Amino acid sequence: GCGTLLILDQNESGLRLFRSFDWNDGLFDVTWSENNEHVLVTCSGDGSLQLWDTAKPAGPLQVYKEHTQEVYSVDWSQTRGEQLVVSGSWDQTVKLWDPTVGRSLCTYRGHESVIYSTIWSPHIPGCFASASGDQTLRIWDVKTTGVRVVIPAHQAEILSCDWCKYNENLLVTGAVDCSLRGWDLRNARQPVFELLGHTYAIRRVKFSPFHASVLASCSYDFTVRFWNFSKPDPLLETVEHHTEFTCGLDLSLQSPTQVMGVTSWWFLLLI
Amino acid sequence: WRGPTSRAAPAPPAAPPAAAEGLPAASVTLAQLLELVQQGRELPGLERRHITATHGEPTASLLPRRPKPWEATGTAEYPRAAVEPVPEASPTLG
Repeated sequence: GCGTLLILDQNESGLRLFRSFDWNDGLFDVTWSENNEHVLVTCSGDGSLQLWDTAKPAGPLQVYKEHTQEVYSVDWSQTRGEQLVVSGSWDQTVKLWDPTVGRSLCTYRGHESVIYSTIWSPHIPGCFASASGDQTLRIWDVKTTGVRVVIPAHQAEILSCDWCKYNENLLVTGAVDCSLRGWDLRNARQPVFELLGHTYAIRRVKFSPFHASVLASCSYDFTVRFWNFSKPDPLLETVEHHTEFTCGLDLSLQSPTQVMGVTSWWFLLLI
Repeated sequence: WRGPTSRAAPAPPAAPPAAAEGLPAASVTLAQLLELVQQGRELPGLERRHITATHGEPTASLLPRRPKPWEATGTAEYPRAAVEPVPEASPTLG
């Protein structure tokens, strides 16, 4: 199959399609540049990453092909002074990239199964987390190739992770066991919270950009849920989805953007 | 059909009855399609694209980088979540 990247523009009257880009294989993730509003990076089922310019309709500016299996996650570094991209692949490696350089800067090995998510810390420069089918959350630092922290976070595959935007030690994982767990890097032997309610695997989890203890999750159970883990009853809201979302996932070879579309919509809700 | 994640998804609809004989070459049953995908083989009737990099330079950026909501208060003074480290023997919160 192939994949399509949709660039959506939001104004007073709603969302409109600004531009679309095609790729040779399905696209699994997308991340915007932090230093150029025209630039974004996607990653693909064919193992490559693509650099796109929304002002140039002709095709990707660059293609980075090193991973030997699907690349499921890309993230552009959030901390100032860097221009780094991290990618996570089903080939069990994480790769570090500078988009101006054609080859990866470093490859991080250690995960013992497919990697589903790689996310930069918003506060600690050069620090990123990865979540894997090997049931661990791992913390890495670009200054060394060996992993810094390994957290056996679930007894199930972990499909998503994210950093708290207001506490540099706190992360959340979302797993096939339908749970969300919070982890404090200063003492990761036990989760600091566990959020139950989803009835199928967690597809993605994100901490709020605005509130220290609020997060959102989406699941194969067709819902998006909002949580505040500091409340005794943490579930704030459950939003039911159309079946398009799940169809996009089950038949991802044909409609990967449906997953992106939902995630994008979801971010529009938060930001 | 992308491996482990499909285990967690709701079950796909049942495959239609096999009727491969007499069909045009571009058509396969769901069961045949599954097998082809799992083996990483070419799928009949599927358009293959050959998109490549242009190697152009990115359009010059005109906008300054906006601070993130959590950066708005400056470098060291952002509000911290009230999360205490969990002592070893205690149960989980929440």
